[in-house]
Amino acid sequence: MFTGERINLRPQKKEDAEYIAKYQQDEDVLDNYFMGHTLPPLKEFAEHWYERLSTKNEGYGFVIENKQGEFLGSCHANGLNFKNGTTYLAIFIGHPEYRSKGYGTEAMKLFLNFMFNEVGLRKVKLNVFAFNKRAIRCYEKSGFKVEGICKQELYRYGEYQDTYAMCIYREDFNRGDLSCIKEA
Amino acid sequence: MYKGSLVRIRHQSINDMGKLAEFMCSPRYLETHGYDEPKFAYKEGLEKKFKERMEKHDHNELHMVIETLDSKVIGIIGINGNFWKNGLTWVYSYIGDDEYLDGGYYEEALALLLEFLFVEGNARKVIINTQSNDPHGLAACKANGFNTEVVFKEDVLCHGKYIDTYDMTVFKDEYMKTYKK
Repeated sequence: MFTGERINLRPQKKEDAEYIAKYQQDEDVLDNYFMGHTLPPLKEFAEHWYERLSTKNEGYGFVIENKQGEFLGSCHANGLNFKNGTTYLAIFIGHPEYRSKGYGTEAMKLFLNFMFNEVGLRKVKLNVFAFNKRAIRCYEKSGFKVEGICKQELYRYGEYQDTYAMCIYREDFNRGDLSCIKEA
Repeated sequence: MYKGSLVRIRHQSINDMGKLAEFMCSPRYLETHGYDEPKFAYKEGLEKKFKERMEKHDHNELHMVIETLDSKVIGIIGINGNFWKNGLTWVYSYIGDDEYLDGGYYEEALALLLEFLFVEGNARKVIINTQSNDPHGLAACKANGFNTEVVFKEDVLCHGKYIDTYDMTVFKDEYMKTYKK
């Protein structure tokens, strides 16, 4: 279910807060991941987030790791809506050596496979900053399409930047290349 | 005073909650608020939330009623959230009394809210989410200069089908070009 060719997904654990905080403090992740300000977040924030995840059960938090069990990044679903069958997702590859090599795309496929074919959702949405070309390429490779351009939605680098609203539907996902997903 | 020729907008008071619960239980409200699962609103529940809001005193939210000039409450309007860093303000508006759906009440209430946000509230970009099955809401937004930014296709369930929703926005720069007072 969570096993890929080069990476695995696994549910987030309490101890992961340390790695999540470490990589969320990475300048690259800060600039490209947060709608809020880019003041590096504390480890306490990641712990608090885990606390909410584990006690309120209001989303899915995954850790992306390589076959040696090394922490590469994280992806999670928030804003799950079972009535409409939709969710938002967020993903980052924190480990600098694993960026731009298709690991994110593989993680995305495992994640979407779980969301569509196990959880039973219909549509997965995300927002991405227009200047984050690397992420947009990953999302397009995973089958996402742009639903709209949110003009001047984010203030960064001293000016207002556009963001893209993207989405993917279950039928389109299941028609794509899913060969990297290993069934249990 | 946020008063036009047909309606005024004012703070919600705890005495409005009975009326609001009535509005929020109507089929039209449930149909046009497809992101939430259908839930009935109760006067007592809304009163409890009202008191919690008073305690919290969050400046990023503002909840008002739309009333006619003879003080009949006909709808709700307000700010769901505000993101100071990115200059984004999310608003909502709903006419609960069917008799006032046409006749410019919706448009004027939204115009008063926009005037309040841009002239008084220092908003930069105002965002409203509307659904394709809400022609009155869509018309009121278009009349007030809202442009569709994102079409969320087949996004919410209504009468067994998935229908589109829209994120519509208006910027301060555009608004001020047409503002006369």
